[in-house]
Amino acid sequence: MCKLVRAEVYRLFRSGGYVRVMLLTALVMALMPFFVDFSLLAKNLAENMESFLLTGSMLIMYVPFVSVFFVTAGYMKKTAYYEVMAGNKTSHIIGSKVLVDGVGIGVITFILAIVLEAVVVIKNGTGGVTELPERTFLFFVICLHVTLLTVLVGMAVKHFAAAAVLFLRIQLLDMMPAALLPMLAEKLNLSKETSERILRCTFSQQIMDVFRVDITAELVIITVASLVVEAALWYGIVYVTMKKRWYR
Amino acid sequence: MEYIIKTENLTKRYGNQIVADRVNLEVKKGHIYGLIGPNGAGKTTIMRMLAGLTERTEGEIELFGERNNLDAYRNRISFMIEAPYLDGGMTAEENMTYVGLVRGVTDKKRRKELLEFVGLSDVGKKPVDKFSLGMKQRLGIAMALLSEPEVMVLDEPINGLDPEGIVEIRELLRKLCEEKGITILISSHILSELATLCTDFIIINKGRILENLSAEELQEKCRQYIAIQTDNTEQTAELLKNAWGDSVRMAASREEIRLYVSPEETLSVSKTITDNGFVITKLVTVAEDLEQYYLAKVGGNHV
Repeated sequence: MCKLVRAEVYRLFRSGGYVRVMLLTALVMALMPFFVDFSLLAKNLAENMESFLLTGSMLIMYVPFVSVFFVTAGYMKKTAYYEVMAGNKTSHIIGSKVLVDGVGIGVITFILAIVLEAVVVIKNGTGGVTELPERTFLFFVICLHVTLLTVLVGMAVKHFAAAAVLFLRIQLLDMMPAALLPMLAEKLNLSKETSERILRCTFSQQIMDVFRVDITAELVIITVASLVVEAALWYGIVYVTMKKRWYR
Repeated sequence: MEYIIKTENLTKRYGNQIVADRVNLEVKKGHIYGLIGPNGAGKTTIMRMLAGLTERTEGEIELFGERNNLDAYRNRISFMIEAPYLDGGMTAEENMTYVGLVRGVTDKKRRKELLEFVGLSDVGKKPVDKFSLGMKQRLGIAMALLSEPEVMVLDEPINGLDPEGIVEIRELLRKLCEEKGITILISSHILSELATLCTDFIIINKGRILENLSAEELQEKCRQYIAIQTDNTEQTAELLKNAWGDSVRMAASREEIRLYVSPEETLSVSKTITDNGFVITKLVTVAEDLEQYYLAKVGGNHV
């Protein structure tokens, strides 16, 4: 798998314009609270939480729709087919992309997202925000969940149409539950706790929890489990499509 | 005899459409096989199944004598299917580097040597999407050679090349086979080039292998015929059919009669035609080449 990881890293950095645009735009978004309110750097973390919540939400919504084109470009140009024709194992092909495009871009996104926060904390302190390591960890898990989802959906669809699939996934399993669950809970006889647990599986709620509520063991478990379960589901789909040799 | 590639009743079906129909291939080590067939015959589908890009519906594939875990053996084979798969935004060397990394080949000197060999050493930082078709084909061949494969499966590799380029690639492939023992399976529409290059031919049409034959067998089978044109070719053909039956065929243009009999019968043919009042404008003995043999196989023109 090492050779595939090296090849993918090479492809990522040789993509040139694409990577520069993505990083630059992500950085601009991450720094946007500062552009909106120059006094941000004079405030502590607690006073800036809502701004950072907005940044986090925007990055989570933005990153998939930019990085999915990088992931699927290899399939659209068919250069990704060399990985198959070279006789690499299916699990290694998936693993290399998950590691480089999923984890790699996830880490980059996370670092860009917290740069400003880190500066604020170092300069002005937390302002009483508790459980900072846990919140940071959960935010990293969310970034990772988003980028892994992007890579796996891209590999399953193998076409720019993966952006549409991602959009549907986010709309159907994130935006809509957040909007509709309060109405549906009554019709489905769902208890308040169950409704909250379901909502906690969505990105939008997870981001809000990171910045607004006390971090509980249940919150950590749900956030991590939603990443693991969805990643496993999409991994299975990708594995089957690759084993079935569904290449254009 | 060692078979590098073997297929047994290899079939690919899309719904009700059979694209490859019980294909039985045997590719011997150290030979150059020409896979010949019209568009849509199934050549590319067969190559895609060998490459692992398309799943077979039925049948077996054997690579280097093994039927299981074919992926492990594919790294000994280079494939170029339909066209080289290139990242247009990268340069030639960057494309080579990427494919090299995928295959675990990192020898920079080898990359440069191969680029020089295919005539792309001076393209510099030009992105590949600015290349001509011929340049892209050359790059694809260089990429196929990068990992020093034991087998090369090439789908129309000389498409888009100028005559000099075609000769160069032909001679390279011959050299690779003769000097390095590389087995080659190649498809092309340029039958004249395959005829001079290949040691074996596989003729395919509508997903079925029509014939497998060696170059020696082809030479024996390429029949001689008497080519005839008269002042009324159609009626002359009817006349000759009465005497020589199914040996009489018309060329695709319908302007020439081909009588597949021994050249010794030329005199009696000539006498038959002239005795019936027709004027002969052409009467020559011709030997079929690969193109004519192939055309007769996939869609002969009978009277």
